[in-house]
Amino acid sequence: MNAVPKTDAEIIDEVRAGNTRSYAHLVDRHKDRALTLALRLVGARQEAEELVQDAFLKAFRNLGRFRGEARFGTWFYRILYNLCMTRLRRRTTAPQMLEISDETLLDGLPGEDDSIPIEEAFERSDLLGFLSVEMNSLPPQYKSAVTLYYVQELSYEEMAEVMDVPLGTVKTSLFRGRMLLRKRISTRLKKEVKVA
Amino acid sequence: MTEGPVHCTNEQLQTLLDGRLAAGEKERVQSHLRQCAPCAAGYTRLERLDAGLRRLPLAEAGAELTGRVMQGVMPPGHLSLAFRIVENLAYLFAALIVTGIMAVVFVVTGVIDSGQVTEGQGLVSTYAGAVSDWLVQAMHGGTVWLERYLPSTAGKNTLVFGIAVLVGLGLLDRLLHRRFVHRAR
Repeated sequence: MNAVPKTDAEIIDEVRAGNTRSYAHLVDRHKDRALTLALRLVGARQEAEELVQDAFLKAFRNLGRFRGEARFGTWFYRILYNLCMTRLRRRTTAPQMLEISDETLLDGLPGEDDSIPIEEAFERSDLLGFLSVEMNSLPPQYKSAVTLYYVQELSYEEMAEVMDVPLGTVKTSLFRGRMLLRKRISTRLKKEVKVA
Repeated sequence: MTEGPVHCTNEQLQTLLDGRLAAGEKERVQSHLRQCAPCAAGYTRLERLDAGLRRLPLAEAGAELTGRVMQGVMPPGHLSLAFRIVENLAYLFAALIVTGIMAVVFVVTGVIDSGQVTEGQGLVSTYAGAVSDWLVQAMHGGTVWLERYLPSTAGKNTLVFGIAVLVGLGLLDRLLHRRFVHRAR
């Protein structure tokens, strides 16, 4: 008979009660998603692992301040997100500007790319790889929004809390991020059609 | 969004896909999609992109990451005695390995000849004091032991013994870590 896995809140209660080892379960549960977020934001694996490690340690040290009003994930990913953004700010002297010069394309009619066979597109593994590469090339704000939504599976409200931005900004970032990806995929498919 | 030639915006379609359209607008958009092929095709494309994004593989963080976090989380007092002993043994082994390498290099390069090793003299014993005295004695003992089974020159056997000690220490270190340290974490 399978035991019901403990919830994050139950594990946190155990840790607070002195069973520090239980924290490993929390780490194991969130580390892959955390590393995915950090890796997409900072790019280098070793740096991403260090940031994830720092975030888990910081979360542990501040566990007393966690009130349980939000999910542990939301609270933890906010810590990780802040660490990643601090690292990015140190790396670049000037803030990265949004790379959208063709906003009209983003607001185009939904039927504009009917000739593109995108319906079957993601059945192809190479295109999934291309999507992964394109995801990493998005501006940080869009990349964060798309990752928090699809990897961390946070709601718009939770994303706003993690990114510390208004709800409207989250919606816009998520929308534009996805539209940019869609556009880039369409462009690639168009090129393939031309070559063929 | 209204019926007729006015199409849905991408934002409306995306919000519908995210399940966040208000009830009234949701019905209007869904009704429009049933009648408008371009908008329906646009919605399908967004669905496919959505599915693709959900299928992107996660990065895999190894067990080492959990180990490193737990090492930082658990104060030394919480660690078992075996854990602490083995953790510190690693430093001793490291020192022995470095000293061993130096001794082997000295013997091989002729800075110390086998006679000096036998007599417990030479640079190693001069500069490293009691620890190196012990090491020289151990190497001498090992060499003598090896000579029983591998009759050869003393210098060659000293080298073989030194390498065997290094490999042995390395293997013992890994074994003890796997047995105690990983389990304790």
